[in-house]
Amino acid sequence: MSVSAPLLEATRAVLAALVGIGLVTYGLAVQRARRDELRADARRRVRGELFDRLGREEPGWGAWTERLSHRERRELRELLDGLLRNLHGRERARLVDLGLTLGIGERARADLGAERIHVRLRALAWLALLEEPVEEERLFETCAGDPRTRAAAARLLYVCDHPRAGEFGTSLLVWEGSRPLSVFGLDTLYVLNRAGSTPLLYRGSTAAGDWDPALLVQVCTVLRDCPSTDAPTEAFDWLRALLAHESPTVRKAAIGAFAGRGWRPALRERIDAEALVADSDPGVREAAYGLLAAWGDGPATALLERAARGEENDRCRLVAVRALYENGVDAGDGRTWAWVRAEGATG
Amino acid sequence: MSEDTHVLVVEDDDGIRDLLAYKLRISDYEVTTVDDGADCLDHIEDGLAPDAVILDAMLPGADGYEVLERLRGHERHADVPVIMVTGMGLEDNVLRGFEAGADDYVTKPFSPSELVVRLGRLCR
Repeated sequence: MSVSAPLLEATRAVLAALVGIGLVTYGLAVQRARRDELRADARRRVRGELFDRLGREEPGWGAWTERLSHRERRELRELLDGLLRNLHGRERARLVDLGLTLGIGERARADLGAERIHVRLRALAWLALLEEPVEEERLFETCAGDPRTRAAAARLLYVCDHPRAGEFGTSLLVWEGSRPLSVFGLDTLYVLNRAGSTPLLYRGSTAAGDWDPALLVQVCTVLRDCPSTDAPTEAFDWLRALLAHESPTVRKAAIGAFAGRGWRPALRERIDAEALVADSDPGVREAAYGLLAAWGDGPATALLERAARGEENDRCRLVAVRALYENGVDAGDGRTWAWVRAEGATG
Repeated sequence: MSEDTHVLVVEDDDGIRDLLAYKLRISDYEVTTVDDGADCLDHIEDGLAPDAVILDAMLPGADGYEVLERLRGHERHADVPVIMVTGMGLEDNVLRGFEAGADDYVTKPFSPSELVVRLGRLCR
């Protein structure tokens, strides 16, 4: 049986293509293996020298890094990134000096102006690792446009212990209130306000009207956990207005923000607790009973006692009775009281 | 410390692992490094007998707590000093480490120099 010439030609072409692809694949694999080998060699050299110098009083970073090849410098940067994230103390301080000697800080400052966001985020991450402060104006002009860069810039202010980290960092984070913060942004808002949430309270006074409900809930959560001893009572007015917000989730979060502030009589007097326990949403009423339990004064106890008798929702009534029981009031009957006493007896 | 003291470093981050090994070696410890919890357990089963262990809490294979529980259940290693390296500020992790039988802990970010000093005190 004879094979036609076109079929033979086609077979040859396919075979040639397969051989070609095989050769290219092999070539690439060899090239990649060689590159990996060179990289591993560079990493080994750099690592040994780095650890040795790290233990010296005078590491001599300048003289050493001048001698490094491009590949070695790249490996060193990668290693430095991991070590700076995991270490503190003397070694970290020396690694920061190394990073600055390598010009990473300078490069990162320049990269803040880059168009691509991942380059700017990388620059902010390096600046935070090296604890290199950046002027407020520069941060604002390069980072205000995107929530990711705003959060990273706020974090940088915090790690650099910037004197206005609380005010400026908080402003950056909630700059555009149309969407909630990322987990990183929320954590940064928390750390910026941990020692005192007055900057967030003041920011809310001027901007909360434009904030998305999800952001309002996040802000209330931060305010619930962070103290504010120096803010005047008026600074809470916007937060008090949230107690009547159309969203029950926001109302509930706002109640939570007031629970830890019962020590301020002026603030307590301005909150209409009667209205809170009359809310149509059971979740809001439950939060209100939690607030009254935290306050624990005479009027709060009276409202809890009323709820223990007349609250229709079982869960809400349980919260009220439990609060009374924990505050030393044990004067009711019915199945909720029996439940709470049994809970108390079993610890 | 003499070279007779054998320390097992179990850490998956190679930069941190190599740095710890380097610092321990220049402090005259004999060091074995492992990057995976399951490998660590295999080494122990195969007869590796360290005098002390530096154990990262977050490991691939088997996490540090599981490795520690297995170590403590092993007749030969029940009393070997173990320092746990846990995530930053996570009290639960620290408590869990102590409950599993850790002798000491450091939280990341940590100071390698401090860790070596702590290890020295435990091995005294």
